[in-house]
Amino acid sequence: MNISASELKAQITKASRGLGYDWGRANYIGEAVVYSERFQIPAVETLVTIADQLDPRGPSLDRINFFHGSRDPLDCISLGLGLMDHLPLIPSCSLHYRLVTGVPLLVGLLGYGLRARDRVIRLDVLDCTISIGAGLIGLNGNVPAVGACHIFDGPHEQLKYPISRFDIDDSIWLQLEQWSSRIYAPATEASRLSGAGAGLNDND
Amino acid sequence: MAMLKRQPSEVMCLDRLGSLHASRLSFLRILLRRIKAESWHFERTSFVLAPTLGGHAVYTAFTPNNAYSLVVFAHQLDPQNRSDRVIANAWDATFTLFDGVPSASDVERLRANVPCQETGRLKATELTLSRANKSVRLWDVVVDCLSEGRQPSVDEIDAAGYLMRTTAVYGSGKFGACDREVIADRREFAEPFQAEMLTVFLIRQFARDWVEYEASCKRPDTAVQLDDALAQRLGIGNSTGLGMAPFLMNHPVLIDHWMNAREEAIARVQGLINASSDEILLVKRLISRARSDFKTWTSQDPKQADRISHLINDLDQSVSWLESRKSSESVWRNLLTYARGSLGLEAQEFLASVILEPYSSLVDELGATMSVEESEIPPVNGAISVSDTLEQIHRHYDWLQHISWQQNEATALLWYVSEEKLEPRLGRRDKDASEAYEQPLAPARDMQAYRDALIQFDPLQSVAEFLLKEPLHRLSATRLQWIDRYPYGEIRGNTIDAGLRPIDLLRCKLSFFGATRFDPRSDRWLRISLFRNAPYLGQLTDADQYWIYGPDQ
Repeated sequence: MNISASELKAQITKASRGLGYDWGRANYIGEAVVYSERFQIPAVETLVTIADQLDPRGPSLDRINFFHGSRDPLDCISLGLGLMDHLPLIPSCSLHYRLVTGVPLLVGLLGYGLRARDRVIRLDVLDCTISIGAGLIGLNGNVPAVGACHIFDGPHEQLKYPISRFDIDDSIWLQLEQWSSRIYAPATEASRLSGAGAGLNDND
Repeated sequence: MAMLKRQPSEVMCLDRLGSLHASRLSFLRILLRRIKAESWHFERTSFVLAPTLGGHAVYTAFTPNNAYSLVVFAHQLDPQNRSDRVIANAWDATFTLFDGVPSASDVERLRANVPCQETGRLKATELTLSRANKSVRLWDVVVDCLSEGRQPSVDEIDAAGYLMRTTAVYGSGKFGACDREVIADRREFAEPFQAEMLTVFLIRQFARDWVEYEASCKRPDTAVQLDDALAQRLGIGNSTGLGMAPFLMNHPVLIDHWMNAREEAIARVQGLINASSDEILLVKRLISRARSDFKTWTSQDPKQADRISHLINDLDQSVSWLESRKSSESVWRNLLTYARGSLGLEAQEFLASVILEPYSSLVDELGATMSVEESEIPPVNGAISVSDTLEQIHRHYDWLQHISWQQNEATALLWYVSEEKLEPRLGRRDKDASEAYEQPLAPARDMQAYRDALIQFDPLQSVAEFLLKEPLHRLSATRLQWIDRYPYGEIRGNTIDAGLRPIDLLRCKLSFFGATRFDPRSDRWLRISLFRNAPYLGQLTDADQYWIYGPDQ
């Protein structure tokens, strides 16, 4: 399916809400996925693949895990949101994480976090290097789904051109629609009466 | 003299937003000014209709650099299936605005998709998707009259005000169409909703052509065309329901830019020390024209009917005030001060719009400030401290203290989306839908909860630290920082209160489109007209720029 950017963002936001995230985080996930997909980093596929490992209602990252890494695998969404919030507090960062799942989503969250900011962050994961800035990505290698991450300030390299349309596999889109459908109220006659125009002659 | 803008605390209240009128900065007026200034020309390149079978038509607008074509599919609709609700699945006509001039194969692809509306798929070559129904009151009357060689009466025309009524005009990437970001750098789309306004402008021409065509098919020997002066009184109707209300809450930065532009324009004009006698005369003349036109503005809604009646009386008083003034010094500031003290909200906002008319050089440039590239709006800045955040809340949301959240009525309503064609709905929290389905359309309640959580936190800590522990407040944390920078973006009211009238939200947005004749059908939906009294294609060169105020008698 060939999808516009606004369709993709809306679908991911609704799907994330359907997965149990609150609307605030769901919006950020929507922005992050579009950011990564613009540079053909497979964030949609990653979200679908790791959805059952995400724990939207679980505890957030604590400070120790956040600043000093964790023995356990870190969830890309908790880590990404924490990082993007903290970046303005860390003028020059160098952070190591032993194992992060969902790296394409982490890239998107960092990219969204740097929107309208004059800063470039480097993310090295396995043999892939990614430089992330406002609306820009430099990429050397394929972004792995899982890996140890080193995040630090660094220059842009190997800039990629963004795309504005997205080809999404039908089965993946269907999965997203199923998650999105969880946020829609069942169709009942009582509900029908709470729509605009209900009970009135809406012709003219 | 520099004049301070009216503050968000005054402007962004629901009852005032529900009283806004169109202005020079309304999007359809911006479009028509551009068409005239750039000498666009229009061609009807295809009109393949059959009297009882429908068909298609293509209207192309040629700008200096681009071409845009309205592709129309006309249908034969069983009257029993004619409905303006989102849950409808058949219409009298369906439309798309195509980027360029469509080939025959483009038209065939669109024929398979556009009539399906939400269940069809568009490509990046399509900029909008729309549909419209015929006016049951007026369509057959006009066909009958024209076919018999006579014109319908002015009263019949004015009672409905339109031949066709759109029930949705989708843009910005919906259903596979082109994203706004892709066309935002074209100068004809620099201001908001220009593709949507062009779509409706072309639909209005099609509605006229179609009614004349049906008349000529009915009685080819006697049929005549619709008189130009009568045709001009016809706009395109629009039925607008709850789907539009969330837009105002979901796009606070964009709404700030719209409101800020209008308030800046009003402040510039109020700041003028002297107005010439010609400028004052023009405003008086436009008030008089509007007053006459408002007499044809009817509503079955008793509250709106009362407001229209008061508006007409208030306009009489404002003209008397203008005629009795002893000096032209700061006349516009004094007029609005007088209105604030003596006239209703409808009149206050109408006068705020009409005083802009003589000052195109002061006002029109502000249209360029009304768009936002949402991709440039930053996320939350985690470096801000909790104490500074609480100050921001105090600065922008002091009105929250007047809401009694412990009373059930304050949280009585719940916005949700039905699985039935994804129709937006507003129900009672205690009976219509579960909170699991609630849409994020209660910023006042959520900001109160954010504040309550923040005051439990170490004031020296950062928002980043707070969100690490309290992730559920991200929506409000982000919104607050946007509103701190764009304060006209927040509605100063509780959007889940039992007393909410969603039509106030709808009217605000529709006034920026340039809508007139607001006619609430309940507290949840209303009908309006777009382009009523406007020139048609090819009539713009000599058109009166003040057409929106009604015929110049």
